[in-house]
Amino acid sequence: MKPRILLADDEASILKVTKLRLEHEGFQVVTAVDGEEALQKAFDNGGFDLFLLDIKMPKSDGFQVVKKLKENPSTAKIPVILFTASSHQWQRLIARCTELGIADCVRKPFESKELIARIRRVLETR
Amino acid sequence: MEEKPEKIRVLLIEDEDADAEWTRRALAKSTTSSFELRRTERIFTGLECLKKESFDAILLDLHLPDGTGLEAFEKVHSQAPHLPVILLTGSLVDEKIALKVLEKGAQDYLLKGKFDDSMLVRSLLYALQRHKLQKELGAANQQLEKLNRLKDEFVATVSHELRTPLTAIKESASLMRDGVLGKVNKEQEDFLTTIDESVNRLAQLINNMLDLAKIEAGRMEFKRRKVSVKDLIKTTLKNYESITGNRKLKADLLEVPDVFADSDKILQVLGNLLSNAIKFTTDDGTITFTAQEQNGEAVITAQDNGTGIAKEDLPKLFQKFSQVGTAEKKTGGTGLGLALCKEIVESQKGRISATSELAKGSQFTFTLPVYTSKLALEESFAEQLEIAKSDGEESVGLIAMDSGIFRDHLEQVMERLRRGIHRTDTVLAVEPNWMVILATADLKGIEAMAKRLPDVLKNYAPQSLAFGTASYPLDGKDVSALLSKAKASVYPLYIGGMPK
Repeated sequence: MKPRILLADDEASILKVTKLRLEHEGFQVVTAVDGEEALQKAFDNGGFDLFLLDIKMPKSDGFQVVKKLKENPSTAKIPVILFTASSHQWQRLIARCTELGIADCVRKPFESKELIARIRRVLETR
Repeated sequence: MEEKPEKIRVLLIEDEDADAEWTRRALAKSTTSSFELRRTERIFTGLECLKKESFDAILLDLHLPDGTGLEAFEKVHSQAPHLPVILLTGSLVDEKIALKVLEKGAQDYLLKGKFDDSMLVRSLLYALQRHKLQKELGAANQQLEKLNRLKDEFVATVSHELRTPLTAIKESASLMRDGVLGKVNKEQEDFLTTIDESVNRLAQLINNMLDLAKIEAGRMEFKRRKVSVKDLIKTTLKNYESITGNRKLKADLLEVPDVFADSDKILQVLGNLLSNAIKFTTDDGTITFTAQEQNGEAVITAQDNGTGIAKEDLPKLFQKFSQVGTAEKKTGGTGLGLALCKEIVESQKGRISATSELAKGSQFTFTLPVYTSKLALEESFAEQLEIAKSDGEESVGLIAMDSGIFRDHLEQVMERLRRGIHRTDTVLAVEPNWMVILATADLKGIEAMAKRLPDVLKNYAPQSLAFGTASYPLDGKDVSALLSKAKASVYPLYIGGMPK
């Protein structure tokens, strides 16, 4: 079974290339363009192995999405990787990683190799 | 001074009738300016006057029944901060007080009985002029600060907006090159590599520019930790392996202590120095890194046996956009790399310098402070306060746990933070309220502390808590769970570096 990943980012170009790269690396990818769509897909489709979320998203940002995912028993145990391009958000993220129950954080722009390595590590230690 | 056609309105607060009369006459005698004097005998009546009428300046006696010295000045100044105040003092003892009040914003002081009519007039006119200039300067400063803020916002936005499309270009090219979208021939692969390299150069240029702008605006965030110099140099050599060609890379790392620095930023410095050295040496050249301790600092050197730099070019080396050397030997640099190195090294309390000889090679040397637990402790607390503050939380509780290091240095650290200054000399605008609880760094200690917390928090309810341990003997989750009873956001910090 291919691991299923929910990928949410409001940048269409990033979404497109990252999805293709992840699929090439043997993952099954579902995408969302904002926080609300991410939550809806997470709860409706189910069966995800990992959530990959950008912090800066319209409607509901990455922090809010994580909070709701962790509150829902059906998604609470699924690991989350957050990424951000803002250095201010990055500091907050690092400081609150444990408190929020996030598996890993990645800084944008990321090298796809680094992202894949982190995803694999999170999935292995799950 | 230009003669003013309008009357200058002066408020005199003076309880001695004789002194008041003297002042009135002195001002009336003036041939250069015309004054209108209003006198009150007490501060409180003076304040009433200030409410009802408008004045150009205030003459204030420092010995009044309802206020003396600094207190008298502050009462008046707080009501009319926009008016220049000249102090009138009666004795030499008062003169000392007057000097202090000058520091708080009074324009001038005059010793009673020691000044004549023209001195009084001159003092008033000077005070008015100086005060006007100060106000203009203040307004200009405000305008500059506003522009600077706008520039910073612009830089931050541009940074994000430029990086996102670059990432997409880079990833698209790399997907094609990796054959994800179908087989590519040798020539296509070659062109995709050109795209990739060009994007990297553009990204480097953007990053250097943005980093310089950020450092200059004091907005660069440094995450300083305990870092191994040896590891940094080894990582750098590895990062640049692919472009070194046949050059010999050597690392002569003597016993060098760990430093206190931002490892990403120092990697940037080392990377810049190495790529310069590669650019300016022939393919059979040698590049040597050395590191050692000298006078309590780590001294790191990058030496090459390349083309070298002319003596007259050395002083320009670390300036922005100052590519040295002849036009035909231009090597595609941005002229920003070394300027950025200098800013980074200096922001980490280090120094950077270069020596060189044409045709023999160059040597770049920079220093970094050696790691001490005290440096780390100060920085970590200051960082947590900054984060809490940027989240809009003005009161912060600090809980320090550990027996040794914390107790040794806590007092000094607290004092520095209270004054709003930490090592990077950034000023914390908000002076936070805080408390410190000391506990031993084991689970028992934390539990004991958690029990005491509700009691302590009854009188003091911080919106966030930062707690620190010197090593990392605890699971952050345990601590967070225990401290969550405090109903505040919790920022864990680890002095020994983040757990891996």
